[in-house]
Amino acid sequence: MSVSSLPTGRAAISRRRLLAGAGALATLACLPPAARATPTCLPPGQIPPKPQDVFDLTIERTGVHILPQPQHAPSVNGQVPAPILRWREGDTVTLNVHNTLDEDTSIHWHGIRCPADMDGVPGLSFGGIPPGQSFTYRFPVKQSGTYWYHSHSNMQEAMGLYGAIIIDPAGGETHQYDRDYVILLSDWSATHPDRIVHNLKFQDDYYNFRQRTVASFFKDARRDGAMAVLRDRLQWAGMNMAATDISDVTGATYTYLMNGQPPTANWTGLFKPGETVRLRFINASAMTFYDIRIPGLQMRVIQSDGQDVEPVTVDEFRIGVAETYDCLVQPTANQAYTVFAQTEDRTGYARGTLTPHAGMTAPIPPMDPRPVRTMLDMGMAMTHGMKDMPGPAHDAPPLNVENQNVAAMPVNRLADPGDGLRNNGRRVLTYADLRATRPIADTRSPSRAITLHLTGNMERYIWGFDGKKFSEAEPIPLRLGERVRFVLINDTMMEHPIHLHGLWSELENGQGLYNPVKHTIISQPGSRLSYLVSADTPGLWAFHCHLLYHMDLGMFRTVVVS
Amino acid sequence: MMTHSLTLRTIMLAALCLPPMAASAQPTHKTQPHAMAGMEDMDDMDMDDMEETHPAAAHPHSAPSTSTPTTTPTPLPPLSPSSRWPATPPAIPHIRYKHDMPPVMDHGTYLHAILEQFEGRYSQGDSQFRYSGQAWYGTDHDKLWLKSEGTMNGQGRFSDGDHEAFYDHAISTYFDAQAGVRLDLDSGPARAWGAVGIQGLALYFFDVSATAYFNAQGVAGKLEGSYDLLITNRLILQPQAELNFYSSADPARGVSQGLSDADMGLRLRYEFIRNLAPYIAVTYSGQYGGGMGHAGHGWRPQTSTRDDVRFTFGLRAWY
Ligand SMILES: [Cu+2]
Repeated sequence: MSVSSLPTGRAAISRRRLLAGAGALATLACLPPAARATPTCLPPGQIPPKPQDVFDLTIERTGVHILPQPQHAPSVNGQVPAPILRWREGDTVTLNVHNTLDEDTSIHWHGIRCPADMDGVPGLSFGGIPPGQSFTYRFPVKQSGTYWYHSHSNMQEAMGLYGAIIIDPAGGETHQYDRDYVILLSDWSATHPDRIVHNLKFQDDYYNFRQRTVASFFKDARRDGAMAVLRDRLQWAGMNMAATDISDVTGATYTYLMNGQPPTANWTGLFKPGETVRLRFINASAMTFYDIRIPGLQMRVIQSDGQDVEPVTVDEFRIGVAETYDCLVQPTANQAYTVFAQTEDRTGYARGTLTPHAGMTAPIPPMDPRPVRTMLDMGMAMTHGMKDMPGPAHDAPPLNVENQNVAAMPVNRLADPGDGLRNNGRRVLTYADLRATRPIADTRSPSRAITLHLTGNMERYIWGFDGKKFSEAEPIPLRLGERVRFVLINDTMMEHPIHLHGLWSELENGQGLYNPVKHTIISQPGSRLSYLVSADTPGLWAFHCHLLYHMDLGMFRTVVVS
Repeated sequence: MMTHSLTLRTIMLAALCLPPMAASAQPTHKTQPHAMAGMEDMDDMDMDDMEETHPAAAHPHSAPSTSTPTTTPTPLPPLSPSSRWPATPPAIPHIRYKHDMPPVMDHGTYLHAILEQFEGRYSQGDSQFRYSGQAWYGTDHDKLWLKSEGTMNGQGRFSDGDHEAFYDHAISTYFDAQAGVRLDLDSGPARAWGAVGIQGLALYFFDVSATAYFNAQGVAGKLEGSYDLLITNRLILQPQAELNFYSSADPARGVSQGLSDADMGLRLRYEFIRNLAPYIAVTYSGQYGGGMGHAGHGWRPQTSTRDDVRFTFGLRAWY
């Protein structure tokens, strides 16, 4: 971790943990409000009382004390995570962003439909913000719901430059609730992101300390029989793949944060028994999928990626990197509840507490067994007795330096809650459950399909589409006004949250006119899914996997709408 | 087995219940939560040695067959040719990035180096030091690759000094082709070779390399292989072997025709941290056939095969 000194004389912000009895509250020292429209510093997760339309955001290196060893992180107005911005649908917002870093920066408004030059991806219709300079973003807000913002420059997002956006609907909220909290999840490491990439390039399983071993062989063999275990291991080894490949970067280096606070600090939200509480979950992680539940409470999912959905009552849901889900909960008892976000690979969790009294806590549940990949994840979920099994599609990518596998039998996994969440005795949200509350606006059929294979070579740690990384591939052209179908076939054995900037992605999950509208779509391993896109805004748009190291190592395309 | 069968069947059922674009489909098909069938013990949460809990668990070949093949790719609804737009993709435009700045820099260069062997080899009254390492710098596709190895005996004599420089190019999913030069530089007479070879990861995770060398005196070959056997996630047993072949003897360097020498090791390392691991080992080095040997005190004629087994300890480190 490079630790350069603070660029300005401003006091380093310190994040101290005040351990108070069983509970712990973190406090955040606030900088004096410097400019007229600086968002006020609120406790983490607290939404500003009123929307604003002018903001001054200063990006600076700030000392943070999330881990025992102090670190420096790029921050917004001295805060990590960045302040929650509250907007109002119909307003035109003005955001003056000042860069005091010694490198370029940028802010991308994730999921916000705005002109391409306001989208904030350096190189694409925007030049980035050089050191010492400012840039003013100004655009009309044409949507409502929960979104977030983050840097799109270098590794700043992985180091802490992210924050929530809450947009009040012009026509008032659909649902009644008494309290409203942001629950922003992220992953935090003392290791510099560049070093993490360096380590993964040398050894792709650098952070995986749960591989199959001789020791586990005997344990497994006692349970399943030596031959079965041996056969299975040889099958995986024979493909140079590991069934234990769940997350590239794990709890071996990450601390998982809720609203910027580690599990020991225990972020706390207050309620009065009987109240309805709205929780706006945002996954601002670089590399981590979370499975979220609140033992003792059911969650009514009312929004996905900022868009209203027909309420679905669940015990648990998975949130991919960059997705957002809004839930209502109604705690009636005078007791505390743990908001538990275990990582998909079960190497750690973020955790907070909803409680009627500060300091009251609830037990932290044990983590579930971690998933192990199967042939389903390799796109080889064949059944016996199938006569004419289609081989890989004719447009299948080559097996090459950048591609390790082709899914022979990609399947529809939209009704599959995902690896690690099946048959766990809880009602778990799936993509098939999402149904929009209003019909889609553009009812035309798509006139063509764009099929993209998600590919990668885990061994070399290269990622891309169709066996090519970004720098070797052509942009994807769309005609302004056309409607196309994107088909994603995942040839890798990992989930990828695929994000299209500037345009909506209408997931074809069987709800017809009420298909859910999203900005980030998880493609499960070995799966095939599709979504419709109306190319209604011109410009250069980013299209990428939101696992930051996948994006940065090639899983990225430029989409040109003209 | 139980876990897996249930799992697969649930997915199949779910897939069945999901006709694409069923315009007025009910909000959801809700999968009945099953009991925690087969979901047994929790993970041992000690980060040190977390092993998987459900292993082998079988692959789909052991899944029960169902009468309906439901795992076919779900057919997508038809595209409408009557739509306002032609179904042909537009031409790919030439795009200029602002300030010629591509949005991601995935063509980065990386520098790595590894000392695989850095070890003392001991037998009664005699000790040797041996090292073997590689370093590479470049992109995903093209690299400059350096390799060096050598042995020092107790008297400070440097033998088996083999130093190589390659241009390395990735040619397949797991393999790189390499071309360059090798210099035999140590206390003996120097030799220079041209070199071509391949290096990479064979299936079943065997690290292998095969290199051919040529100069005016003849050709030579080197085969190397190693395998990491995980006893636990940090305790790793690594068998390793290197074999050298020559088309003609070079007595001055103790090289004989055919299989001239071999070096093998069985190293047990412990990765306290990934890139710094001490190890203990049993190593074997063998000189075969005639020529000059370098055992003991200096160079002397050697009339027969010499086998040398030693107790070894060392450090593996990488950057
Ligand atoms: Cu990805």
